[in-house]
Amino acid sequence: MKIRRGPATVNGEKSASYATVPRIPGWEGERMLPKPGNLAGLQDTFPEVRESPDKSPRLPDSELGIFVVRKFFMCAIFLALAGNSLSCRKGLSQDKDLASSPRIVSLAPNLTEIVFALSMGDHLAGVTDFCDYPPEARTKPRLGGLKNISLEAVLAKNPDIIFATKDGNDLTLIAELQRFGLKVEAYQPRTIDEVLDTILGIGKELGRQNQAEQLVAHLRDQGRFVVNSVAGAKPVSVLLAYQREPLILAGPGTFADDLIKKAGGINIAADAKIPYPIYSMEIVIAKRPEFILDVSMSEPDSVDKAREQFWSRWPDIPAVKNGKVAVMNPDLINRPGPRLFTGLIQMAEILHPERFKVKK
Amino acid sequence: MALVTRSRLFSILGLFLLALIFSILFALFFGPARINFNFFEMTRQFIALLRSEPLSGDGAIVFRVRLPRALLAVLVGGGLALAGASFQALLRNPLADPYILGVSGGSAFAAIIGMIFSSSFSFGAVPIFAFLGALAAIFLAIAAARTSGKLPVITLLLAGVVVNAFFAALVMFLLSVSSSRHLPSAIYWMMGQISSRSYSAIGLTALYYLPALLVLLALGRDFNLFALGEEPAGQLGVNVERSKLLVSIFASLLTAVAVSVSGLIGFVGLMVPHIIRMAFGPDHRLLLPASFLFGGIFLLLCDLVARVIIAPAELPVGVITAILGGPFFIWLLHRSREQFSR
Repeated sequence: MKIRRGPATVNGEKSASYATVPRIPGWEGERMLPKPGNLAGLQDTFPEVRESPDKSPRLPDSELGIFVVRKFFMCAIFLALAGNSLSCRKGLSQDKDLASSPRIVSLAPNLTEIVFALSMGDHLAGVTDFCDYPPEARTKPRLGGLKNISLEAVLAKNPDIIFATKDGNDLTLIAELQRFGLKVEAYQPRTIDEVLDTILGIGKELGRQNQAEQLVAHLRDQGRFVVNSVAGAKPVSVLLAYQREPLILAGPGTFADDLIKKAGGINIAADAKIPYPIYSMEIVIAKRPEFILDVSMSEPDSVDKAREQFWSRWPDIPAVKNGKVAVMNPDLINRPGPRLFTGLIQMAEILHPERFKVKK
Repeated sequence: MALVTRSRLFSILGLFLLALIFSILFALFFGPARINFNFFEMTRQFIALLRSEPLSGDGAIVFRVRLPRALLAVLVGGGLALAGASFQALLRNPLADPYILGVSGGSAFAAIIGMIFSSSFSFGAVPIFAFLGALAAIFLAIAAARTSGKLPVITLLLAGVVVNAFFAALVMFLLSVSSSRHLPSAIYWMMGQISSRSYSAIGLTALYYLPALLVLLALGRDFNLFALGEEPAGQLGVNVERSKLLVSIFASLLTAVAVSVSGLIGFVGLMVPHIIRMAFGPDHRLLLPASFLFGGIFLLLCDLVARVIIAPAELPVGVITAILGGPFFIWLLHRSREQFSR
C-alpha cells in the first residue's frame, strides 16, 4: 500500500507543490493563497505586514545614556524594595509605551503563532517549549512546557502582557501571575470562528487592530474559498487519527471535526461522546471510511514505515484498499491559530481533489 | 494442606478449558459493531483469512479485530495470573503480584525511553525496550538481594520495591521534562491496553511464553513444599535456591512479555490466584494452571467490557481490572483478616 503524503507536509518545507494553488475566483487582485505552513506567504499578501515591527523610537546616544542611568536607578529602587516587588514592577511597566515595544510572554504555541502573524514576534520575551512555529519562535527564551511553566522565569521577563490558554495552561499559574500584578489575557477558542476572535483580541491588546482585521479577513476568504470550492460535492466519510496505537480519533467538538465538515467530509467518529476517544477498530471497519487522515505527528521519514505497517494491516477499510491514506501535519489541525485555515485548504484538497484542479 | 486428587485436578482444569473456549467464542459474537453472524459464512471467511485473501466487512471484524484481541487478552491475563500465583508461592506473601520485582517500573521506564528515541509509538521497538527494561530491573533486584549465594525472600521483596520506586521516579522525571508529543501514548500504555495485534505478533508472544509456562507449571510440587517454609522444603529435597532463582526469572519473564504487548494491567495477577485459592484450595499443582486459565478468561471478559461499555469509544482495560479489582481486594482482605494477620 502506498501512503500519500499531504500536498504540503511537515512544517511547510515540502510546500513547493503549493506554488500552483488555484487563484481565488472573484477575489480582488487575484492574489495567491499563502503557501501552507508558511506565514511568509501572508506577508506577500499584505505588504504592510512587512513593515518593521520595532517602531519604538530609537533614542539618540546621549539620551540613551540617561535612559540607562534611569533604568539603573529603577533597578536600585527595585532591589531596595525587594520585599515589595509588586508595586515596583508596576512602576517599571508604566514607564513604557505598551503599544510600541511591549514585552510579551506567550504561554501556548497557537498564541505565539498569532503574535508572530501580527508582526509582533520581535517583542516576545518568552515562549513555551512547544512554540516551534514560525521557525524564529524557536530562538525565543523558553519558560517551560504548557503545564509546567516556571513562575520565576515568567516574572524574570518582567512582561507587560502575558497571553495564556485556559485549557492548556495551569490555572493556578495564571492566578499566581495575576497576584503579582501582571496582565494576563487567557483565551480558549473552541471553534474555528473563535480562533478569529482570539486573533482580533490579541491584535487589540497589542495595538495591532488593523493588521488583525486584515489577517482575519484574509483567513475568512480562505475559509470561504474552501466552502465554495467543495459546495455541492458529495461529502466523503473521513477518519482522522491523532494516534494509531491506541487508535485515537477526532471526536465531536474538536477543531478537526469542524475542519472535516467544512472541507466537505463526514467525520466517522462524530458519534463518540468524547472529543478524543480511543475508537473501536471494528466500528471503523463497519463504517467503511473513504479517507484516512493520519495526523499522528510530524515524524521523520523513517517512521513512515510504522504508519504504513499499521494501516496496511486493515486492507478491509476502503480508504486503505484505495490508497486514500494521507498524512497531515498535526499542527495544521490541532493548533488553534492562523494555520488552521492552511489545514482546511489542504484537507479539502485531499478530500475533493477534483475541485482544486489548477487551470492553466 | 489438602491436596487434590488426580481425577479432581483434571476435571477442574477441563472445566476451565471449556469455559475459556466458550469465553473466546462469546467474545467473537459480541462487540460494539452489529454483525451478521452466519456460521457458514464465517467459516468461509476464516478460510479466506488463512489464505490471506480479502475479507468481507463482518469477516474482518471477527477475524482481524475480535479474534486476535481475544487471544492476546487470554495470553496476557493468563501470564499475569500465573506469574502472580508463582510470586505469591515463592515469597509466601499474599500481596505479591507480577510487578513485585520492579518489573512495572523497569519496563515502563525503558518503554518510554523507546518511545522518545524512536520518536514514535511504533510497535516495532517499544515492546523490546519494555522487555529489556523489565529484565534489567529483575536482575538488579536479584543482584541487590543476593547475599553469599542465597536469595532471602524479605531482602528480595525489599529490593524489588526499591528498584520499582527508583524506576518509577525516572518515569516521572522523563514525563515531566519530555516535550514530546508521545506523552499521551506513554500514559495510555501505562494504563494497560489490549489491542488487535497481528497474528504473527501473537504467535511470537506465545513462543516467548512457552518456556516460562513449562518451567512454572512443573514447579507446582516444589511450591507445595515451599508453603511449609524454606528449611523444611530443603529437607524434603527441594533445591530451594535454584527454585527461587528459576521462579524469579521465569515469572518475571512472563510478566515482561505481557507488559511489553499490553502495558501495565493491574490486579489480574493479584486477584486471580486468590480467587482460585479460595475456591479450590492451595494445592499449587491445581492453582498454577487454573490461575493461568482463569486469568485468561477474566481479562478476556474485562476487555469485552472495555470494548463495549462506552462504544464506539473504548476504555483501557487496565481501568476495568482496577475498578473491579480494588473493591474485590478490600472484600477479600475483610473476609480473611484473621488469616493475613497471623
